[in-house]
Amino acid sequence: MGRKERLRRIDAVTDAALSHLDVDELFAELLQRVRTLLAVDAATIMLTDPESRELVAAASDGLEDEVWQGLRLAEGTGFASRVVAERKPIVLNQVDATTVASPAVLEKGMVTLLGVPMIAGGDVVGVLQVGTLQSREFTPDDADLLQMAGDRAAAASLAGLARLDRAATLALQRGLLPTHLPLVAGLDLAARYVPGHKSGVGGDWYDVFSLRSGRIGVVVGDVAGRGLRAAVIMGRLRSALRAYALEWEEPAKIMTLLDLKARHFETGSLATVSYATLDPETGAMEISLAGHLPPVLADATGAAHLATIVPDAPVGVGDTRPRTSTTVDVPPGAMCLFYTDGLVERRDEHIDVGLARLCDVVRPGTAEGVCARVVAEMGVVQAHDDIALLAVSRTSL
Amino acid sequence: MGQGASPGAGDYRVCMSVAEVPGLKVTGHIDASGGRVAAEGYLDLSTAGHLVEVVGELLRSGQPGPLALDLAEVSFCDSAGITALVRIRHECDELSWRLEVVNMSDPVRRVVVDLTGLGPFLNVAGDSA
Repeated sequence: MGRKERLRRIDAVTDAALSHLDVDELFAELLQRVRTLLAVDAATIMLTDPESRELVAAASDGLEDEVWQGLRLAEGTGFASRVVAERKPIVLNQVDATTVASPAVLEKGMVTLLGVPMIAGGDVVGVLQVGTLQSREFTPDDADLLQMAGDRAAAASLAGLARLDRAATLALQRGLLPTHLPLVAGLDLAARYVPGHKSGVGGDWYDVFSLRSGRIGVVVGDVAGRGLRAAVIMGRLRSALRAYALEWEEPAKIMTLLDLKARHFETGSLATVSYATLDPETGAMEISLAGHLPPVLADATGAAHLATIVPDAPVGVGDTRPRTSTTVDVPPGAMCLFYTDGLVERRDEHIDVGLARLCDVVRPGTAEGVCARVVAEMGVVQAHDDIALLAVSRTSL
Repeated sequence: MGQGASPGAGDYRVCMSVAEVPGLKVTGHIDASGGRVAAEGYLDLSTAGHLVEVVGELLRSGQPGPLALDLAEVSFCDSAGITALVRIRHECDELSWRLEVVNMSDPVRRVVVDLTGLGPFLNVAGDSA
């Protein structure tokens, strides 16, 4: 192929003008150009759906809408799955039910297929595939061109997903975190949630609710991972914990149930959780830590320290050793601050340095006051990870 | 990666040295007495997956037995690193290997054992109850 022709083809798929299109428009335009340049009868983009382990048809040029729309192929079967698995362009000259899973391809009567993996961020996000109704010899140049188009489509897809992801995660988080904390006689409550600087919205949460016994339940948790996935798991754990807390009083029991639930239904996920029940009249607090950092307690004299509690394993680990609940006294005038590790963990620092710094900052006073001080003095705004804070102050008698 | 002709027949040795990824170097081997993996560097989102991969390959390349994980030269471990260690323990369970973390640096021990309560689950030497 002449140099001019080669450049013309490359230009057609790398054209800067395509950048202004949204993902759907870009797919449509790219497929149209690919179809013309390669003189094929159909060009289709399939995207991987990691949750359901399927390939989903996202766009097509040359196939009737009703043929490809809604098409889902299970991973591991057929030609497109092979392309995903092998992560390289593949030509298929024998198109039949043993080599191809797509009913669209089979019904149409495609005879030759060329598929390339769409790779972005190191992951295969989909497959770009073209087919012909007459037998065809695809050349290495054809495969290169299709791969270039595939790379373009992959990058656009990732950018589009990232935008959707962020918007969805924010909406989910806002919907899930309590906007108003309950009013409890004898207690002053305040909380903060700050999305991470780099990681964005994630799996941290706080929760406060009254129990039938008159005690209140206080939760702070941190689902490992980032983005929408962590936020969704967080939502499930938050709900489950609330349900268990209405049924059982003992924090250790609730953690045991939560661990079982996470291990069974959210396999592969992990969360550290702190759950405490507090009697506002006596200041008696029962607390169980599932791999979570202990709260800071500052009494009326002003001295702040980490509550002495031995943590059990995080939930989702499946450590079946009996969990423990520890009794901590919250005297009148004392401040108890729950938080997530984003507040005290710094890359180049021993965690004890961050913990000591936090103990310097926490003092008895109003719950709002302590939250504001902590945010200001712990460098919260520049923090890497998301942070949840919950301050519980027992008002003086 | 070869195995002995039959279980227990003679000594077989599988040597695996993995190309380092930036931030983490992992070496491992198994022989008739069990497996040993040593890691050097840090465990975070960018490196933890590689540790899981190397250990996974090792677990599948020989007869199950004790697996010693030496983290003496790992200077940092965050929640991604912790998730990876838990996953390694799960894989060991599935494939009937017995995991023991034989060494841990002080800062990592502070986080993983003291503050995250994973000493018993990861069978950290000097910590089992």
